[in-house]
Amino acid sequence: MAQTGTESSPSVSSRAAAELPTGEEYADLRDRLERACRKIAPHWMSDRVDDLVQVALMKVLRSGKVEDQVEMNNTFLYRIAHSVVVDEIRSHRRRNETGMDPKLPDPVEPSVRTNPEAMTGGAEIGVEIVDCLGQLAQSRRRAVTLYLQGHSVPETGKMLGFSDKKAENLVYRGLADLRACLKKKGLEP
Amino acid sequence: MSLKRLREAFASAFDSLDPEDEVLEQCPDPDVLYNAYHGMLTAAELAEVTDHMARCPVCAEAYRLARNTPPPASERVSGPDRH
Repeated sequence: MAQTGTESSPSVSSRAAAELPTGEEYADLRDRLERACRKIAPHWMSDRVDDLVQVALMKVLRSGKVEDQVEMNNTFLYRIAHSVVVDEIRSHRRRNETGMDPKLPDPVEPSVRTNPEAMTGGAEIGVEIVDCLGQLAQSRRRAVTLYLQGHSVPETGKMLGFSDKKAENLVYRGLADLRACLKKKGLEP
Repeated sequence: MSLKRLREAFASAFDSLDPEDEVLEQCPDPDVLYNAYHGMLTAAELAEVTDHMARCPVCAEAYRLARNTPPPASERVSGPDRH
């Protein structure tokens, strides 16, 4: 797995600066990046979209692909936007942990919107789910994790290289283990 | 506990769990999470990413955000068919 950080310096290299698009090209690029950032960023980051777009623009300019219209497709721009949003989430978490982000007193909401009833105690249960996942057998943990992330059983099997039958078995048994673990912690509907 | 409730609660862990610094320092590049979601990793690579997501709510959230991105046009290994 790659273990690399991503750049976030606002400066633009002289080489990239020489390739800066002008006029309509720049406006079009900015609009497309803004759409991508708005689509990817979770609700709680909506007031930071302008900053995200600015960082994304810098990344695009630094990529050296500005003049290559073939590379400047939606997939590339969404990749950049996703990377910028994730970097910002990680930075936000670090700032919160060190008390360096006083302007964000509200709790961070996950991207998956839950109803108020589900939110009650949901976060605490989530922490226990993470703990219980760590206690599952490896193959079951992987299958259940992807399943909890929203994938279907066939998708989970395909992604992990298992047959549908094996994936079904792993998810079924893994969920049973997870529920048993939660029950031991007193978490049962 | 219903599947819907489990999925919502797992996503909510992002809000309350303070990931250990050790885990955050080992977080994969956002591109790796994008590739994982879109089935562009091998099964072994995906397994490694999945192991990380199981204990890191921040990366689990980053993976979920990749749902809102278009799939790459090529280089696909395997992965979800819904988009």
